[in-house]
Amino acid sequence: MAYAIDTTDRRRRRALRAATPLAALLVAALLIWQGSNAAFSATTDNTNDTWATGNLVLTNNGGGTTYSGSTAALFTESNRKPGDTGFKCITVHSGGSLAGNLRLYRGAITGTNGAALAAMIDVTVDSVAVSAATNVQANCAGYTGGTSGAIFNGTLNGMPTTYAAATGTAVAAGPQRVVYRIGWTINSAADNTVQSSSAVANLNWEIN
Amino acid sequence: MTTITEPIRTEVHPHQRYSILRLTAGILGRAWLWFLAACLTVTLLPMAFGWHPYVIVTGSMEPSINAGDIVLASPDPVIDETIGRVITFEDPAREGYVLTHRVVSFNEDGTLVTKGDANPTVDSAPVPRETVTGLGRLLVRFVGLPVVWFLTGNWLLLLLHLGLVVAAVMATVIDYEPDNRGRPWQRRIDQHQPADPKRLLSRSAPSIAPILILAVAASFGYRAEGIPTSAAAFRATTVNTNDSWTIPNWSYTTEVNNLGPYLYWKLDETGTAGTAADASGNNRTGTYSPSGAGTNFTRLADGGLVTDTPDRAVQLLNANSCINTTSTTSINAPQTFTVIAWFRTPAGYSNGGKMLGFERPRTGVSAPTDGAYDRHLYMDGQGRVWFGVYNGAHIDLSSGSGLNNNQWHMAVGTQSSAGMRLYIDGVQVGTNSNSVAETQTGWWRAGCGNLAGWGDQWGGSNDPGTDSATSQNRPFTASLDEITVYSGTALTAQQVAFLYWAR
Repeated sequence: MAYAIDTTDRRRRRALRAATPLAALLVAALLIWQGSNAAFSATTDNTNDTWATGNLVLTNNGGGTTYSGSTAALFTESNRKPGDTGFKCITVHSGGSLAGNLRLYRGAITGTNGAALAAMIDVTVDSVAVSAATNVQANCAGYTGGTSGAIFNGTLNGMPTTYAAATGTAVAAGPQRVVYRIGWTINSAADNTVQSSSAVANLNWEIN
Repeated sequence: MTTITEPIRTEVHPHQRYSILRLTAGILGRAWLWFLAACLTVTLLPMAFGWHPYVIVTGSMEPSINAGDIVLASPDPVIDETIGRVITFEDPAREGYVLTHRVVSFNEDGTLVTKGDANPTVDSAPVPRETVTGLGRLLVRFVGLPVVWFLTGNWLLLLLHLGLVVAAVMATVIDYEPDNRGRPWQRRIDQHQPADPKRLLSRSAPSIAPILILAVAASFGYRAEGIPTSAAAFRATTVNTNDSWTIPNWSYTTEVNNLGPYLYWKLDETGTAGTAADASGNNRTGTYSPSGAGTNFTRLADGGLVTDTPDRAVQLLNANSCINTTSTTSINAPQTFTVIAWFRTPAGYSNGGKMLGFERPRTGVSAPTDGAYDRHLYMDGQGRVWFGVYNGAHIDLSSGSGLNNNQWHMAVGTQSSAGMRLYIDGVQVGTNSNSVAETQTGWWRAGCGNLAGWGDQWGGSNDPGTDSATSQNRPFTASLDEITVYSGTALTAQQVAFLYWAR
């Protein structure tokens, strides 16, 4: 009798061992089907507020005190003429939990005769990292970085327009702040055909 | 006495009480190995049809795709049908990287707008169609984690993983019991040496071998793909909008007046007007003499100013054509001053002549002994323009080259304690340290005047000579515009340049 029971147990064990690969395959197939279905079904609803492993969040102060993803113009230089020059500072805040590489590039140049005028505006960009509690505003009070154009030195027209083309600044996991000093000069050699012109562009910062 | 021993079957009784732990470990080990094998197979087999596996190494597609997942992408997708779907493509922002993101929309130029599900904004760089390498088809979760651990240097987890695989293999090997239906010699071996790992391994080899072979194939397969990792990169952007620089249509006239001129004859008169208006508002008008139009003056519609239009000018026709100060009250000549004259001559014009200067008497040509004349801009017989004052000698600056070329030009002379400057078309062409001109009383005039004695460097015809004992009227029988005098002010180089630029 004991022997019979033994044989039954052994059969059960053998069946179990034989069934194991099938179960494993089934689980794998289910996982793959479910994952593929969830990830690759066409959907346009990509809103997502939660990040499991980390994230990047970028804001700027627009030269003022309030940080926002999109701020109003730092520069509104009207009634300018050749030889005019100036500079302003803007603070960019990286609030994400990941480190990244921060870069500044411009958007498309619009405005009347904008490209021609932008070619006559010399731009220098420098930056310096500050503590997350420091807020440097447009007047650059508290800015301790250089003025030589280490990030960019050229015309507004010649500024990079893509992340790939821009010069980067390594930024550690947030919160971190980087102050950008942007200097400009309207080239004295500007032809007088740039009268009645206006160059308008967004300044974009991107971290990734 | 009984010598009958127990039947041989009793010897296997210990094996009948098979350890539940050993069985459980064996089952788990098998399950783990088969699961891994299945997942690896799924990632490898489609490569035969040209699909590519990509190990996702970052988490911007969370929660649908996590770091460590393997994405299988089919090649040559129909781009127009990819909206909302996940594609793999060459990262336009970083060369040599493959990116796995979702297509959001198309740009007008046909490029794709992509976005990581976990990113708040779309990718900044548009994706050209030809850089799309595949369409996401199958997602095998977790299997690429060892690759991620390897890339991120997470050696502890990697070792743990390898240890787990080894443990699973061991558990599978050890969980062995003799098959009742096996051949006798097999039973005997197992009964005598049930725990010999070498023999166990040899018996388990047929079931373990495929898994091991698969694992090796997998590592080689991924290696052949050049470790095809794909970033689902995190991105964030911020923007400062509509920064602008604006240059208005600067008015030359307004800018001249903003600098506070003593007199400003724009010479915009029409018809037979006999008075040159003073645009400075100081009412220091000029008088066209001998008369306002006809044989002495031509009123031109094309003055020197370009953007400050319409701008008129005047052409002096005769030797006695002149524009004199209307007021008969003489003034003391300033020691700090600026004189501006716009002029145009026919090409090759060789008469020369005085464009603007301070002189006594008010009209006509000064007598040799009584008159005085300096602080003037004049052209010589070669078309060169000079700015001269008298300080015991003739002190002058030259344009150096002829400007008699049928083009409008702007000549500016300044004198102050910093010395004299001559600017042509906004550019300084001459300078010296002289800060004193002749002390005299008189009137400003344009278009005529005595130049006797100023011929020491004169070139070409009409030389007025070096003898100031005779009167030498040198009318400028060409076109004049925008006659301006600043008294007490010497314009700076920057101001002059700007005025010319704003023309």
